[in-house]
Amino acid sequence: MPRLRRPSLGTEGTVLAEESITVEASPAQLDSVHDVLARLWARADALLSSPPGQTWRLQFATAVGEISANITRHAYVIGTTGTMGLRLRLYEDRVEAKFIDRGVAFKPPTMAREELSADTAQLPEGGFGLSIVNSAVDDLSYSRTPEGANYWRLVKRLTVS
Amino acid sequence: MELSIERQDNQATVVRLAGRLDLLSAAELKQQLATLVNGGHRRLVVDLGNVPFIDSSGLGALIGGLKAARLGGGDLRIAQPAEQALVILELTTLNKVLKPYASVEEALAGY
Repeated sequence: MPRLRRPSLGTEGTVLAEESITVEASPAQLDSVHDVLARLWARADALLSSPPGQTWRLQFATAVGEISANITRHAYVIGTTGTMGLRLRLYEDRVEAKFIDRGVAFKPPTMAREELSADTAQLPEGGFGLSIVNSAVDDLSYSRTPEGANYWRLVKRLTVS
Repeated sequence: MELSIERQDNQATVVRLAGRLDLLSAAELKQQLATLVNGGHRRLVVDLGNVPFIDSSGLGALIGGLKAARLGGGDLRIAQPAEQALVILELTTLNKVLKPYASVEEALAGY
């Protein structure tokens, strides 16, 4: 089963840059997610002496895209609408993405993720999302508050090349 | 996402995509691939040269097309994936079953 919690990375440190959006949780708003990531990378380029490389950025963007898509697809039941907030923070040693929505609670998958079958007919056509996020970032956590808010936090350490 | 379909002399079909292949566009691609396979076009090349971003829904559509094509005795090949496509294929290890070809011409060769 994909891990939803790892030993959590710290929350300390100085925030070098922050970008955020609050949009309707709709697939049509996924453009906004890519736009806000582009704004953060522009600030990272300006602020960091060794900004992250392209593959690193694409791994983080892929993870952020998966959580965004998950929220827009599953957080709000059909017939209802709601918002998705995304706050990106750049620290000296990491980048953090924090999502908030007020939809239904996330239900972790109950089936273990198995190795991909060599038999094409047995290949799954879905369910890759959390596995992708787990592989792409260093820390992934989910929590739900008693007030009914869902929080996702993704952290990826900056690596000096 | 924009999608165009191009028949080749060797009976293969090239599906050219432009734009992000994500939650918003995956269903359309899956439907188009199923229609092609059901219509007898089982040798498919999906040109990803102008697809800057793929998510798990997009991967699902490609896997669906691959399964349908192989079930019918054909195949689905992906050509000139952008860097993010290579990243997500590697993260999922799907690059083992969706082998990326450097160009459409390479993907068509031997079909």
